[in-house]
Amino acid sequence: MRDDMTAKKVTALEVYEKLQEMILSFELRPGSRVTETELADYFRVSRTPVREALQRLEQEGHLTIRSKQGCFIREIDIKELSDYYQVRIALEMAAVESACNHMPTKELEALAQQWRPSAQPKRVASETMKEKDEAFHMALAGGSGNRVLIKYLRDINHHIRIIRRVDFDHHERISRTYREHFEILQSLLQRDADKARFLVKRHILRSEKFAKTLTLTQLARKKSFAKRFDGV
Amino acid sequence: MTKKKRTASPQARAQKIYQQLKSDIFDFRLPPGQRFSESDIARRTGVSRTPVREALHKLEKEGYLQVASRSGWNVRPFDFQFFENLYDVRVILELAAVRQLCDREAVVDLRELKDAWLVPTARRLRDMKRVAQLDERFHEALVEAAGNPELSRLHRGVTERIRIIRRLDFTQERRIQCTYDEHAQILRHLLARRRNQVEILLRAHIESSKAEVRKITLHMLHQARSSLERAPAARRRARASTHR
Repeated sequence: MRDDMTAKKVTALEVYEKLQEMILSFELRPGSRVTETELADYFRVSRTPVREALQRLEQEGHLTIRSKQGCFIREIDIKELSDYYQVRIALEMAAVESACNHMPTKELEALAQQWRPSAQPKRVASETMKEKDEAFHMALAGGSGNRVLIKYLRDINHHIRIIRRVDFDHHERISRTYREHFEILQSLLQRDADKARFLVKRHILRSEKFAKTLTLTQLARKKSFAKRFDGV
Repeated sequence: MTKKKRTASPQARAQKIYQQLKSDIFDFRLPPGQRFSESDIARRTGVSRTPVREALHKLEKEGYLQVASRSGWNVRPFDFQFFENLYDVRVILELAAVRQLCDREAVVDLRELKDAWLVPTARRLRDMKRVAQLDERFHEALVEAAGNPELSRLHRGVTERIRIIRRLDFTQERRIQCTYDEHAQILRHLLARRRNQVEILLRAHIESSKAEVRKITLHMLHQARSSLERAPAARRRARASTHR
């Protein structure tokens, strides 16, 4: 009995992970419609785990559930992505400027220790890397000592996370992240606010460009798979 | 035919109480730290406790009140640092907006703002409430003109939160005139796309408003506190006993 319960949980989680992957890779095309029944058939499971997975994806903003109509996959809007990045840049530039005056050297040194290029692991999961990256940026925001700024940056990051593609798959990109984070930390340790502002801006602009390119290329090669769920 | 309701719905009553309490807090008639109970409010307003409770919970959610005991409440202590943080974020967001505006190729339509602020001295408004609204609109419209809905959304959030103290800046004729002068100056430079001047002026404008508001708030807090202390001890005791 208990095994059965666990099995159900596992199924819901598996369906969730698979669906999320399908959404992020555009196998399920933005704006398209899917129904519980279709997905249950596709995954060869009952509707309960599918419903659970869909609800979680809705909470995370990947899709909208409309009763009796089905689920609609979130539309991708490149302008929206730019809007979020623009706000993020403004907030983070101000944050490092303030962190430059307020953040204790000890904290900065601890972060620099984590991000020195030689500390880069040979292999790191994209998911782990995403978390580490966000933690770094939030630590700098924390260093500003401005509660409102921290809250708003978290808000913006949440939105970016949903529309941003997985972009830590390449070794080169990971090395670059280590290098750039380390550079930013060095400028903060030198208490050079102008340099820190400049580096943070460049760093985020690069990641924006990367996220956009990736999104557009992936969108361009829509899989025929998506059509299976279209216009049913 | 449907019959018109004769009495206001509970929601409408809750909304009315909410508005009234909020303006009591805004005007320091309910000063920070002031304690009261649900039944105090119900008695004073002649409204049953359910809508009162609804209004109180809404104000709690918005951060104006906090629960003190079972049915006791108090007005949240004034948090200067929080307001400073809000003003600092306001500067960040507004500067991001005007930078965008100055760098943009296309001409930005600022007619609404020109009509309101580039007026001869004789046509300047004097009514504190109107000027406060107009001031909010000036800054909101600047951010909107940048065309980034997310920037506007966060900026509106800040505007909502600082409204309670920001309007204090317009209690003096001198400050109203300053606001007109500064807004006009910012607009003129913005229309000429002098990015550096706009940035410097806008930052200075918000900073001076922040400093002014801080000064007035401190003054009003002091007054509210001393008038509380002057309240006859007997009355306070009587009030305390009805709390139980």
